[in-house]
Amino acid sequence: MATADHLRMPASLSRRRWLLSSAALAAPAWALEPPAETVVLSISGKISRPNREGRALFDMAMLAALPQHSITQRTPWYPGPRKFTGPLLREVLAAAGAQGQSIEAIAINDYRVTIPMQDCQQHAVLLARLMDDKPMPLRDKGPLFIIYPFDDDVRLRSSVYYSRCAWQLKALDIR
Amino acid sequence: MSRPPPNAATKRRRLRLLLLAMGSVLVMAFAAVGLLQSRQSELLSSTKRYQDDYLVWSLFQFEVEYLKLRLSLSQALELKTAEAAEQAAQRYEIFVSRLALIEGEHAGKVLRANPEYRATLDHARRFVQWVDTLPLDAALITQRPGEAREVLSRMAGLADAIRDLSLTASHHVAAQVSARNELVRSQSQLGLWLTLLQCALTLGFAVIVLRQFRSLDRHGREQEALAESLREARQEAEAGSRAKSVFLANMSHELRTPMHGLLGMLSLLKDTPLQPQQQEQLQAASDSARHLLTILNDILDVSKMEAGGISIQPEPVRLARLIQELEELTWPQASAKGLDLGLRLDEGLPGWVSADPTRLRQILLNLLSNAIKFSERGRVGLRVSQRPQGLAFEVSDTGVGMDAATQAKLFQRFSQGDQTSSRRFGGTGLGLEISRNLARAMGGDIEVRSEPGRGSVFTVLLPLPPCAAPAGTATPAPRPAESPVRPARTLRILVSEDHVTNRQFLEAVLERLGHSAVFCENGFEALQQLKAQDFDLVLMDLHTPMMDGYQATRAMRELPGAKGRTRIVALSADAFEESRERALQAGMDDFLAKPVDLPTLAAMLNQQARPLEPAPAPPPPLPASGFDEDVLQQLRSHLPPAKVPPLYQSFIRDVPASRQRLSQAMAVTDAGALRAEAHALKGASASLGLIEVAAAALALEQHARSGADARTLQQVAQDLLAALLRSEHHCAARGLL
Repeated sequence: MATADHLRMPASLSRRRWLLSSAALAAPAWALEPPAETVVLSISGKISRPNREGRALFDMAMLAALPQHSITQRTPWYPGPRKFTGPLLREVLAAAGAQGQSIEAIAINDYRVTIPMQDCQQHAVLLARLMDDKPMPLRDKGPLFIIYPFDDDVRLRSSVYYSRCAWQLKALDIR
Repeated sequence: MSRPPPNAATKRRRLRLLLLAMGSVLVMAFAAVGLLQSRQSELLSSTKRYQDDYLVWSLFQFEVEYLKLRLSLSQALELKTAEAAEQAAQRYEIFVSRLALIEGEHAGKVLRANPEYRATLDHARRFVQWVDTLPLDAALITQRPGEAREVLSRMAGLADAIRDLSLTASHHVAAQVSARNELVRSQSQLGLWLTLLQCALTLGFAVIVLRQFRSLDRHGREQEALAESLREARQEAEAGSRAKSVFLANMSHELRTPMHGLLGMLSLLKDTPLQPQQQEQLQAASDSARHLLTILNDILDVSKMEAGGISIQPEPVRLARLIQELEELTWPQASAKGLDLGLRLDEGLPGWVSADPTRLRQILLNLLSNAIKFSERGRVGLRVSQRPQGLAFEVSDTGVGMDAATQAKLFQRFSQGDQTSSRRFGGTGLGLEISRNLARAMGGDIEVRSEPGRGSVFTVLLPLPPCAAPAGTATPAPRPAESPVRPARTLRILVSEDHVTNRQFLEAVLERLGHSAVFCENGFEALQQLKAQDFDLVLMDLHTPMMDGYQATRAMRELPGAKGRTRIVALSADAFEESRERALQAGMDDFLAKPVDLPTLAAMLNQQARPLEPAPAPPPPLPASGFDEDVLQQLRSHLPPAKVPPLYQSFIRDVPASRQRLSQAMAVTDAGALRAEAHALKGASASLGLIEVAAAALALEQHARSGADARTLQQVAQDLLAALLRSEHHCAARGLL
């Protein structure tokens, strides 16, 4: 269900994107480019490519520059199926050079949950930034929402995985 | 079945129904368990439970967020910093997002029955609508604290409602959880019962299967026992039937023996000077005796067939020779009635066929005799031809013929053409039954075609395969056609017979028939005699001392050249098939039951123009009162008068020796010796009419053979000794000594 959906990208981002991909492939010595706009996600802990004070900070444009994927599926939180769009969580982590066993996801509403690193490798876990192709406001679980591909694997439809779907996400701590 | 079942079929049907019912219940139980398990799996399925649990969590979070917003807003109003204001504005957004969560479809369903939920929700929604009109952001908090305070005070009115909602939901979900637990428990219990039911049914099946196995096992054993008892019953029945038939055969034999004596004496009598009236009476007596003998022979045949079936022993038979024999045997009868007799073989028939000559001759002789018997004039014929099924022997006559009804029951026992014919023609009615049985035993059958007044044709169809001539019979020396009654030539006959009286009797008879005989007392002497000179025929008593007839025959057969092929005919008072077979196996050519009547012996000797045949032994009759005068009369009239007393004298001379042998055998209770002595005495005494001795000897022989105890044997032997003593008196009284 997860379909690559390359969104329209500003021309100015293409160079940065090239650099990012090169950095992801090459040694972790390369630093992540610092965010130009409001920070929406902060990755801390075991990362090799911080861009400010030991953290990897992302603004929405940086996340939108990564390869985009879409999932349309039913979730416990909405009555009908919804379309979620955003980069894969593992690509965001790769951009930050994250090297840990687990991820602690922290939400703006002080919600916390621990996600094993294998989840990101085994499943196409999405860091959704659009719902039904629209940015998500804070009062509607925005701006970022971790979404598991429930339709890919029925075993994901359990409380454990529902609880790992953190919304109003603001930070990831790699451990 | 241990108890008598009403009916095996009903029982089986009941069992089938029971099994069917149990099977259905078991299937239903399995289905129920499956359904139950799917229900439980559904019950445990995550979404609904998660949504229930999550609703409680959301309502609680909503309350927490409400409190956080109030706290954050009042702090921002106190601190009046931009950061705190920013914080408070973000808190408001989060509070709104929580409101959206508890407004969801599921929450509506769960809390539908709760009016407070809707009221609280409306209240909260109105509050948010009002706040959004301000709107509540960082700027408002720093620049218009009055309105921000208004927000705070309006919020206070929501506190209790939100708290109650959280508690209500919590209680509601707790109730739901406990209901679900209750359901799970009851389903588990149901599952348990179902499992128990399954166990019980499975056990039931096992019990039924076990019972079936046992039942099968019992059936098998009963079946076996039944088969065993049937086998036993059959054996008993067969043994009984055999015993009866053996008894009948023995009786026939015992009857035949005096009959032969009678016939012998009658034929001897015929040659004595008689008045014409006496001649006629003699002829009538002779005819009656012959008829009686035929009947006895038939009964003996039938009883033998019933005792052990008919043994057919094929050997090479020369058809031309068979026809010749038949012609010789039937010609006298036919010519006596003035009938034409025509026996012929078709062209192209095999020279030799494989058949039982005795039985084949018997069948054809019976049919030819019948044909002659039932024809007053005209012609009786036998034609042998080849048919696809085998050889056909057609016996035709120009006699009285039969209608269809008579033909239909012709082969049944004791049936003849009609009642009058049986009186007119005599016969037992067994002849055709015997013939047909024999034909069938040989793989063929007998058919009849006839019309009343136009004669009959009996056809014997037998599958007789052609065969090669047996070695040593390459030259079948054509027989001179001659009268069957006159002796062909003088035969040199060697007789081995241990009993002196039998020897004398045979001597007299053979002399009368014009043959020269040499006598010896046992097989060993006979062997020596045969080595010393040539004979045409050996008459061999089977039971002689020193060397018995079987041993002597085997030794003779090993002699070189023509001597080894001398014709040997067994003589025995045992008419049993075993004795005959043993004799033939030992190498003898024929077997004659003692005693043989004169015409039969004469005919047989005449037929053997090349090698010849046997001589008769004495006939013993068994009437009353110690001594049979008739026998003496017969002897006197048949033998030269001077020859009669020596017969008795030799018997009486032998008595002391017999008595001594009997006494010795009695002393050591030697049943074999007793039997042998009794057997010898029986024949001799019967020939002489010493019937008391003959009866006592017979009794002793039978007791010794049947293995009677020593005391009985002693007693019977004493009787015989006493009878022997009295025999001298009988003979002396008649001036025979």
